[in-house]
Amino acid sequence: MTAVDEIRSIEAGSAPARFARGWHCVGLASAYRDGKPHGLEAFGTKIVIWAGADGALHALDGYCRHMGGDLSKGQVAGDEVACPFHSWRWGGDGRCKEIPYARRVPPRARTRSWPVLERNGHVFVWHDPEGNPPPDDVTIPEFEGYGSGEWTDWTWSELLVENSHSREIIDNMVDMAHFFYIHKGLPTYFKNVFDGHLATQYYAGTSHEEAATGAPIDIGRFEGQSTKSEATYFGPSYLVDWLDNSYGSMTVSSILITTHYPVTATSFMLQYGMIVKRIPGLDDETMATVAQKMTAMIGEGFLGDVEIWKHKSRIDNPLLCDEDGPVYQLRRWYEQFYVDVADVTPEMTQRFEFEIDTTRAVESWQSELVAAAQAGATVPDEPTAGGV
Amino acid sequence: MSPILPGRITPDDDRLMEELTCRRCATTVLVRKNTRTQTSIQWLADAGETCTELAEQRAAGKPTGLVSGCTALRETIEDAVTEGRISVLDEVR
Repeated sequence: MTAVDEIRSIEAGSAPARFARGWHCVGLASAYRDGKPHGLEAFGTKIVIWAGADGALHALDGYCRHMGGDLSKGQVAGDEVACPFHSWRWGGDGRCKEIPYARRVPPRARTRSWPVLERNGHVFVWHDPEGNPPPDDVTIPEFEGYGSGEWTDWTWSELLVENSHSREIIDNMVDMAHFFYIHKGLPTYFKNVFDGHLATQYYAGTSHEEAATGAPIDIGRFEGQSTKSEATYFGPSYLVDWLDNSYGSMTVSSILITTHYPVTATSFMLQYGMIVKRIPGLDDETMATVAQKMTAMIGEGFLGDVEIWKHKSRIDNPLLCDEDGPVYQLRRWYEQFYVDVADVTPEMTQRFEFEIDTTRAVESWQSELVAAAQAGATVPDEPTAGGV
Repeated sequence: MSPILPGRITPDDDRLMEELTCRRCATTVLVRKNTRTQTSIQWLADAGETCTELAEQRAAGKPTGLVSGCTALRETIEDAVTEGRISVLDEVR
């Protein structure tokens, strides 16, 4: 029997037991500034996050080292969090500052503190299984113009994905064809670049509706398409998508965030939200509505992904055709966050570029859409969003 | 997970990438072209150090991961295809 006659088997492997090293977004900063401690099930444990009286955000292991009380059920007291059980006061540095009923604090009263970063209105927690502090070169960048009033406020939604590993959502970065089958998009340009701790997807495309008219489609062109998206993972989980959608002569520019943190080794919290650049002549309320509508559309798209993830097999040996993106190289890039720093190999971080030839895919999809339109089938009228 | 051997795109595909040296800064990369439009480029060192164009971007404060590509390398590849030094796999079948 030759290789081509052999039956292909799936190597399912198993999800890694450890969690990725990196900054993980845990939501909007404004949500944590309500004067209360917040509990977060993440990284296989519970974390408490609060804003002190000075406004700084802090994160500690969620359980009090005294008798195990859940700190997130306690109160904010000055800059500290007070345990609901016996009011031990914990500072953001992980040290117990005061026990109101005791003359002295035991010298060993120190818990795990998680480094916190606030950027662009988002809160990030640093996770590193080796316990090292976050290096400066992997920090989250500030968005140009954010906070200047040029953009709407963040929309924000979250979705718990169970019985699945975040590698599934990372895989979407290179999955050109799923945009057609899951997200009702029609990609005409698709390129990936992995470099250092960044992974980028360049996507341009048109809508099913536009393609169904049979009008000629520009292939292999990034500029000037009705959907244009540049989406970059800054580390293992924070995807920033500079996304432009054009409707006739009007272009709506937005920044779409898709981010996740692991809850357990086999579940993760997916979060997404966007800001939209204000359009001259449109009032705040209208702009907010635009952002909400676009976010809702993106949420629909994620439900499509989740439906696939819920039922699919984990697969370590995907079998790829030429029109598929570089899944193996993407996963090699992703691996850098799951090994000790000393074990990161040059291959994991060295630059890799992959541009797909979409010619055949676009031809095939357009003829399918045109045929469906002629047969009177309904064609979805919503243009797609890029990113994942 | 299945490792990828040097010069390969997937473990199931034995069409190899080929070495190519950029005419501008002499950076050597691995290249494979399935069609005139499709291109794979594997860099073999820190691109922001070895490539003049990407180094300029980095010096200007832009991470190389946010740069879509090097124009000199792109032109080098196009010329190599024209001159037959890099094959377009779909055309040599």
